Parts: sequence; structure tokens; C-alpha cells
Amino acid sequence: MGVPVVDSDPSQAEDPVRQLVARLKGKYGARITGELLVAARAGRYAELPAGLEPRLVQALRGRGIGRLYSHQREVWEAVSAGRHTVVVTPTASGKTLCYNLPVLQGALTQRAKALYLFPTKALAQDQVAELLELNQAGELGVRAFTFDGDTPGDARKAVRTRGDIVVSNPDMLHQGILPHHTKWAQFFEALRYVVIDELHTYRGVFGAHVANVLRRLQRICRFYGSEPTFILCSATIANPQELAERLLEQPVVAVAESGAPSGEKQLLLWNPPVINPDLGIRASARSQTTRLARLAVKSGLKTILFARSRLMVEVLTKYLKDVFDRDPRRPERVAAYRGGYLPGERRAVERRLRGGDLDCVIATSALELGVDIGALDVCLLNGYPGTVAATWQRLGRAGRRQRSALGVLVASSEPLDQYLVRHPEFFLGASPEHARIDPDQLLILLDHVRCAAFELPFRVGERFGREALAELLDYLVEERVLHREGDSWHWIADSYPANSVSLRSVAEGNFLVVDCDEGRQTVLAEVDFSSAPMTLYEGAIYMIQAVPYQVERLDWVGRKAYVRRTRVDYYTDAIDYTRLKVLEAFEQAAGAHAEARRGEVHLVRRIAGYKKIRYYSHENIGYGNIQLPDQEMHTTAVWWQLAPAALERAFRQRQQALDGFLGAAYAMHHVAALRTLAEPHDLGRAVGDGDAQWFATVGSDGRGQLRGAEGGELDPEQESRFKPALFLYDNYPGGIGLSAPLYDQRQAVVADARALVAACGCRYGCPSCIGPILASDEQRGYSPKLATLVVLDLLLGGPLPPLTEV
Amino acid sequence: MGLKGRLGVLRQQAGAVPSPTTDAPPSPTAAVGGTAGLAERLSRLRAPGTAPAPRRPREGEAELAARLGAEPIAPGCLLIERRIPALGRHGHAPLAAPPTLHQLPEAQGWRPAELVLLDTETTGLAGGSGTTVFLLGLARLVAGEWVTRQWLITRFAGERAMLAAAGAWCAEAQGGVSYNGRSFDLPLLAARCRLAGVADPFSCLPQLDLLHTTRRAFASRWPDCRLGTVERQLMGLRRSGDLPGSEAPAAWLDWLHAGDGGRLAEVVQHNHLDLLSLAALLPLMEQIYADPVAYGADLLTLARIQRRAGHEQRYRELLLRAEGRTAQLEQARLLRRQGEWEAACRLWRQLAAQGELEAVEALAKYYEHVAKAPAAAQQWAERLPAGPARDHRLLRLQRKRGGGRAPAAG
Repeated sequence: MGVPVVDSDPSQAEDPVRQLVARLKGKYGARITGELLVAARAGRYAELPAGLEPRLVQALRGRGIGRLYSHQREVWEAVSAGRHTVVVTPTASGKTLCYNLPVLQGALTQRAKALYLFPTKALAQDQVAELLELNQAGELGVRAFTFDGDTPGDARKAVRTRGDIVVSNPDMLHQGILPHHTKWAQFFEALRYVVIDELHTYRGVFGAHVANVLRRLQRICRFYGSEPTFILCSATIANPQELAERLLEQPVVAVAESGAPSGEKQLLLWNPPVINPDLGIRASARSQTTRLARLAVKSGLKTILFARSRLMVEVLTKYLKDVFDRDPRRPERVAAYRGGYLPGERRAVERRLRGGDLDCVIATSALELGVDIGALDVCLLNGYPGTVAATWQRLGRAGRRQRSALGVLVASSEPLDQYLVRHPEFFLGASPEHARIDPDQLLILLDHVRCAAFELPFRVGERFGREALAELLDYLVEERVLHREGDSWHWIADSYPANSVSLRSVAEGNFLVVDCDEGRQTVLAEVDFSSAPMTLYEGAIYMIQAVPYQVERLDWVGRKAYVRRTRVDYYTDAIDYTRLKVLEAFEQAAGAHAEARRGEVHLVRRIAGYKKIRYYSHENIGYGNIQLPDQEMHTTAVWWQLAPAALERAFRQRQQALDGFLGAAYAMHHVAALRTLAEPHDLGRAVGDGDAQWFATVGSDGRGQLRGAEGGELDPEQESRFKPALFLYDNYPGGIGLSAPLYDQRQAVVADARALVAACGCRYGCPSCIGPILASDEQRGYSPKLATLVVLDLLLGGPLPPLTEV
Repeated sequence: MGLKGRLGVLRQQAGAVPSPTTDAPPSPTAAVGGTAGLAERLSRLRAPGTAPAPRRPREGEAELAARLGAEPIAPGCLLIERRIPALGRHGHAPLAAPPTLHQLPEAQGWRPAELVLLDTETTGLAGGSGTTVFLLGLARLVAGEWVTRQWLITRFAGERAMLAAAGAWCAEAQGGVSYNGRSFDLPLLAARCRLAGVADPFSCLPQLDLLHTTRRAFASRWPDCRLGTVERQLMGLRRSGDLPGSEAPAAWLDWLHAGDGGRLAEVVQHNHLDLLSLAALLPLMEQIYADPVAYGADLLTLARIQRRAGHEQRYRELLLRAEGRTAQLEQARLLRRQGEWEAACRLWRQLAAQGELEAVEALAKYYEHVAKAPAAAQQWAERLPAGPARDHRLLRLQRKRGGGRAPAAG
């Protein structure tokens, strides 16, 4: 047992969270590499505004609200002055009132209308419920309606003409409202406020789309002579104001100081212990997270675990259910929550969490948003979520106003995680990331120019995005979608363009997971197009609440996977190969032996097979083949190449050079994610010859392999041309603007990667620097870590190292 | 690479229909070959853009107007007006001025002289604010004769004039008549008026949509209720050489893009015939609703319409003449409400013989509660499908017949 807690304050000594922390420190002190204590904070308050409508004051009093938090009052002042305002608020700080107050005031005194946008339907429904309560408390008679895909046809007219507050989502605005704006004329004419909640989710591809939808919204508002004030709410990111201004293309005021009180919070950085010093292998984050969860739940603390993938959510859920839900007669204590579950199932878990019926929930980022699940005590992160912002957002799920909370970030063996836990000052002192959007991404912009032209004819001199609008419009004229007449471009095609533009992705068409047991067909889950190839191949084990289903048949065209319950003791993990072909270089820079370029690439991803991995032991117990169409993508990338002469001089064997490139790619990928403030999966990496003739992968023996265009293995020594290129690419079709900042920092990325590898404590390479090494140095005959350092040195332009000897 | 070239490549990769690219992207490491499919698709798509098929020489607006017999009333807007002789016929249907309407439930007491008939031709069916009305046809009775006015826009610039002129012509109308106008033409005109910034004179008029009128009478009798079907069935009219409505958008776009107005005369004629069909159909429907038997119309549906409109007497008349099981069931319900038990029972027995369960149940209820004959009631109740309702009824009847246990199931 750990050292007994000695504390002068008896009430604090009894605090179960503090007790747990003390136990952890006593027993596992060496695993804790960093800690941070955020002191409890008292609330800061302000009086209700003097001009507040008496009925509204009454309604607030009815709900026990006699004064405001300081930030709520600040928002009121800014919005009253007609300024677009973004408020940055932690969880449970009363953000809804920030926008409900001015909106209700406007509705009551000026018949002003408001549009609320939430990123998901579920969030919208939560908010309407809250609005209705306030409305009832004061008998305000303000009419708030949701308008989304579920709104029945006969109710839509009432929403359009009678709603004071219309609650919707960007997708519905894009497909259902703007293209029919003439039906909404009354609404747009009186539109005074637009509320955009969960602002921080509008980044990347989704953000770029939404920025364009807002361009269209503002264009329609101008047509109807209205100029609504925008009120935006964001979780903590580095640049809420910048993001808001980028979305609106107008100046925005930021209110960043929350006046809400909060309890004490403790954060621990946790590194699993090394279990194989030779190979530098640590115990898995999974095993540590499970152990911590068991301790927390046994201490009576409500616990949430965040995992980085849906697969990991299911694996962790199974392990914890094996501990806590063994007796089927007793109510469940553990549940999983992730995207892909049907809405009903998600709502049920949320209800049980709010009601305190669950002790532990395992979730993906799906629970990062403001879904109301009540407050929890302990938050465990299985692996670094990828960004500082997401980390704090998830940690915010633990913590009540009056009680202390604990967050533990358990590092995986990935380089980024290891870098962070070994340099705790980096994370603890870091400001959260910048959310980036590129609303002028050409494909996205074109999609929305098309939609906007459908809504209203474009006129000469009008602006929409930063590309040459007239050129885009003329392109659409050539496509016979628009007709130019005098100063205007008119829509002439017989189509409804918004229906073919999805805001969430570039690809379309979710897959349904269908249970075909006992002749009945039940839809169990939905999987988005981009992750379907990696999760729904025939033979795959697909898990829902830790119950395994096996995919029996995949109907690729019909977008359905037919599954059946199974009792196997393994799960499956897909293996993919990526080939890249350079299409065009935009810019390039040459060093002593190296050249770096940025440009457009065409990428083909083949899901070749899958591994079967046994529960608990995690040993690989077999392979299966996958027959799926190749996934293609056109994007932008940065790539590095070395002069063949330098390579020949530095390496005796091409095999060694190949291992060096693969190791360098691994390290640089992770460093680049940190440098460009992107999430690791926003970038992809590949090693190939740039012409899609061959590409390199790490084989099951841990050694690099050369594969031809059809996937067959090649001998590097036999290739006539051997000029490997190391690619880091923007992992979205068309790119979302990540390659430019990456190219600007190309030297720093190589230098950081070199520092990461050189400083790693392992001998031959490990998952924390150049990727997992299976064969030992002796078998291989040379050190892949050394080979990686040689490649990185050459890329940095240093002098040629002496020939790497065997 | 230019903007156009970038777009072409990107969109092709994203799975969209490719667009012509002029400059193939060069590669630093290799020539870009692309797949054969891409090149083929590109050249196929390039064809309409860069090498348009030879067309007729561009026709001017004045020439077009002369050819159509139209009068330019504003830049980009032509008006074609025709008077239809009162003795004219459409197929074998007369085109004389109809009498005041009495039979159609939503048009009671409407005077035809106060009505406007309406039909549009549009750039498509997609709906939303991107669909344009390029031909707006109206018909009104003037001095006892139908007059059609058709406004054709030759440019987008003529749209406002078209909407304003059409609005002015029907400013005094009291009602609108169309075929599928409620869900198509009128919302579209409302959107166009809103976009053009002119008042919408059509949406505020009470509407008679003859598609609905026709459907009630004939949906169960005919394969479909398209206007062409109506013309064949009721007017003995087969249009020959008529331009299908679906080709109207292309005909207008040919003019817009290349000044090729070759098919516009056919579009104008098509729209004119649609208006004449409306004019002929209005008195026909009045007759059909007055005497549905003579026209083989669906009496049951028409009866229900009358009932919904509050015309109970007319409902009964029509219902009692309707045929078919559903109608008989409803007749029996009507007779039961009126207390005509004998007639109702006769119907129920016929229906029960055909296995109609509602009739079996009605008879069981009748014998139990009205005739107070539990034995007969039990006989009928035993023919009901197994289930709690049957069990419950049998148990109660058993008790009424002097206690004892219910018969064993099966």
C-alpha cells in the first residue's frame, strides 16, 4: 500500500480524488513525469444589465439566477454595442446564457429573430430544451424550433414563418435553408443574431466548408437587408478570435476570461514503465489506462476514459467490462460512447451518465463536445489526443464546481507522446494550438460558389473568397452550369448543387453496419466513407459496446456491411500500403546533398490485408486478405530527396538506406504534426520513388521492403534507379493548407527529428523515435537508428559521414 | 497551372465529373501520363466547350419575335397574345366560356370571368431559387372568349418585366387555375418574384389545382393523371408533334447560348395547348363532379370529398352508388349510423361471405348489442381471428348465455 496521506486540512484529506493522487504518487512515483495543479477559482460576478426586459429578469429569478458571471455580462455589453463577439468558455461555465440573454431580449423587445447553429443535431436538441425551460419559467412566449433533417414537412412552414429562434446545424443551413431562402424571406428580413456554438469544431475541412456556408448566409442576409450580429462560443484554443474572424471575414471581439468558479484540478503526465530495455519497449498505454481506471472506479470516482480510435474504445471497454460487469444480473457500470453508434444508443448513455448510473465511460472525441453528461471526477487519456487544445477539452470533462478533479495523460509509445512526457514543460507551458481553416481551398470554394450562384445570381464586382471569382464563374459557364449575361452570372442547370456537397468530407456516402442474424436485418451502426475500408472489410471484427461482430459481406456499391455476432478471442487491424506519384512541384529548395519540394501528388492507398490480434496477449495470430478498391486522393505534399551519389557513398547497401528513410519518415511525421500544429492523422507519410513505381513499407520482420506498383516485393539492389523520396502529405483530398507551413519549416522538421532520434535512450531504435524494431541489431547487421541519423544528417546538408560499416 | 487546370485535375481526383484542362501538369520526376480513361473523358468533355457543333446562324431577338408572332414589350421580354373563338374545340371538348362553378368543392361559386389559368415553362424541375421561369402563360375570359397571353423572356433581363406585366394582367382575378401549380408553378413564381423584387400576384389568389381535382376522380381508374392522359381520356385529344415538356429547358438554353431559337416556337405552342387544356378541363370537371357515374369516376373518393366539404347529402348520394368492397363497408357504416339495420346487415353478410373481417365483427356486435341475440353473436364472433379481442368477446357472450366456461381455444 502507499504512504498514508497526511494533510493538515481534514476535509481535504477526505477528498477521494486527493487520496487517489497520493496513492498513485506513493506507488508509481517513477511513472509520473510531470504534474500540474490548477488551483480552485472563485467566481466573479456582475449585476444583471439595467436595460434587461423585466419579463426576462423574472424568468432568470425563476431559475435561481439573480446575477451574472462576469463573462456573461461582458458578452452582453459587446453584443449590445452591435459587435460580433466570441466567448471562450470552459465546460460548465454558463455559456448558453451568454447568447440566450441578448437573443431573448431582442425577441421580446424588437421581434428580432435568431439562428442558432450547432455542429450536431444532438447538441441542438439539448440547447432547445434549455431555452424552453427558461421560456416557460418566465412565460416569455418566445418560439424556439429546431429545424433539421428530422423536422416533418408539414411543420417546416411554421418554423419558417413563426419561429423567433431557429435552431439548426450548418449542414441544414447549407442544404435546406439557403437554397430555399425565398421561403425564409420573413425570417431573413428580421434576422438579428446568429449564434455559432462549438466554434473550435469548425476547423480543417469542415471549417473551410462552414466558412463558405457563412459567406453564403451573409450574402443572403445582405439581399434581405439584414446585418445580423454573430455570437460565437469556443472551447479553449489559441486563436478563437482569429478563427472567428476567418469564418466571418469581419472583426470580432473576444471575451476570454471566464467568471465561473471551478474546483481544484490536478494533472499527471504518466509514462508506462520500460519492460524491454534492449528494444526500448514500454508497457502499453492501454494496460496502464485500464489499471488507473480500475483504481479510480474502485475508489468510488466517476471516471471517463478517452481513447484515440474507435477500435481502442471497444478494446478498453471489453477489458473494463470484464472487471466490473461480470455479473449480468447487476446493472451495468461501464459503457462505451463513440461516433458510429446510433443516436438512440448515444442518448441512452448520456442519460445514464447524467443520472449517475454509470461509473465509467470510454469514449472517443465524440464526447469532447458540449453534450450534457454531468460532471465526472477522473479523466484518463489513453495516449496524447494530438493537440494541446483537445487535451484540455477532454480533461475538462472531469471537474465540478466545488470538488477537485484529476486528469491523467497516459503516454503511448508514439514519438509525440514520448516527447511530451519526457519534456513535461513543453506541454504544461504550451498554449493550445491554432485552429486553421482554408476557406479558399479550391474544390471547397468552387462547391460553394456553385451553391451561392444557385441562390442568387453573381454580379460583376461581387466578392466571394480570395480566388479570382470571375475566373471561377467563367469555369462554371464553360461547364454550362451558369450563364453570363451583362453584369450577372445566372444559374441555368437543372440541378440542386447543395445536395451533392457534403460539409463533413470530400467523399460521400456512409456505410451501414447491418446485423443479418436470424434472417432479420437490423442496422447497428454507421461508419463514414473514409474509415470504412479500414474497419469493414470482410473478415473484420467490428465491435459495438465491446460485443464483437464479424463482417461477412461488404456491399461496397450499396454501402452496407453485413455482420453477425461472433465469439472470437481476437480483434482485427488493417494493413495498408500507400503509393504516391508526384504531379507537379510548386516550389523547391536544394541543399548540399538534399532537395526539398512542395507540390501536388496523387496518392493510392491499398488496404492489402489484416492482422488478427489476440486479446490480452496482443500477439499476432494470423492474417487475412482484403479485396477492396484502391482509395485515391489528390493532395499536396512536401518531399525530400537525396542525391544518388551521396546515398551511394553513405550506404553500402540500399536496404540500409531504405531503413534509414523509413525511420526518418516516422520521426519527421510526428515532429511535423507538432510543428504545424496539426493532428498527426492530418498528415500522412510515405517513402517511395515519387513516380509510383515502387514504395517502401515496414515488413512484418521490421525491415523495410520495396514493393512494386501491384504490391509485389522488389529487391532494392536490382532497381535501375534508386532515388527514394520521403513524403509528408496533407491527408485530405485537395489538401487543407498544411503543406505550405510544413514547407516553410522543412529545416526545423528535419532538425527536430534528428534531435528526437539522437536523444532517445534506446540502442537500435524504438517506437518512440524511428518506429518499432523487431529484429535485433545482431540479426540485421546494422543499426536502423544509425541509418536514420545518417539520412537525417544528409537531409540537413551536413558533411558526408564515413561509410556506414556493417 | 491556371485555375482552370488546377480545378480540372483536383475535381477528377475527388471523383467528380472531370472538366477540360488545357495545361497538363508537368512533373519534376516523370511525365504525367494519366490513365487512358482520364484522357478519354477529358476529350469527351472538351467537345461541347471548345468545339461546339455547328448550329444555325444566330437569330436576333427581332427575328425571333417576328417568327413567333410576338410583340416585344420590354428589353428581353416578348408577348404572344391569342384569342380563342368561343366556338372552338380542343379535341372534341368545347372551348366556350364555362358557367359559374358549383360542383368543385374548392371553387364553389367561382365565376370563370374572374379566373386566371396559369402554366409555366422552366429551366428545370430541381426547385429552390435556381430554377427560372422563362415562359409564363396565362389565360383569361375577355368578352366571353378565352384570351391567352404568353410572356417569353429572351434574356434574364426580361424577367422582371414578364412578372410585372403578368401580374398587371391578372390584378383583378379572384382565383387561379392550374395543373400541378400548387406544388410547382406557384412556389416557383413566388421565389422568382421575391428574387426580382416584384410583388407576387399569384400566391395570394385562392387556387384550384386541377391535378388534384382529376386525381380524386380518376387516380383509381387511369394509369396516371398526367395532362396528356386527361386530354386523351376526356377530350379525345392526341397532340401530334408536340415538344415534350422535358425538352423545353434545352430549347430555351439553345437560344440563350447560341441564339438558336429553332425549338422555341414549339415550346410556345406546347404551353398554349396546356392552357387550352386547362380551359377545356374546367367545365368538364364541373360536369364530372355533377354526374360522376356518367364519366366512370371514382364515386367513393368523390363522396368523401363532399363529406369533407360538409355536403352530407351529396356524400350519401354518391356513396350509395359507389361499388367495391371499401365502398360497401363505408355504405354499411353509413346505414348503421342512420339506424337502417336491415340494409346494413344485408351488406355485412355479403361482405362477410367474402371474408371481410370488419363485417364479421360488425355482425357480432349487431347481434350482441342491438338484436340481443347472444347465440348468433357467438357464431359470428367465432369467425374472428384468434386474439385477445376475440377471446374477450367470446367470454362475455358465454356469460350472457348463462355463465359457464368459455369454449376451449382451438
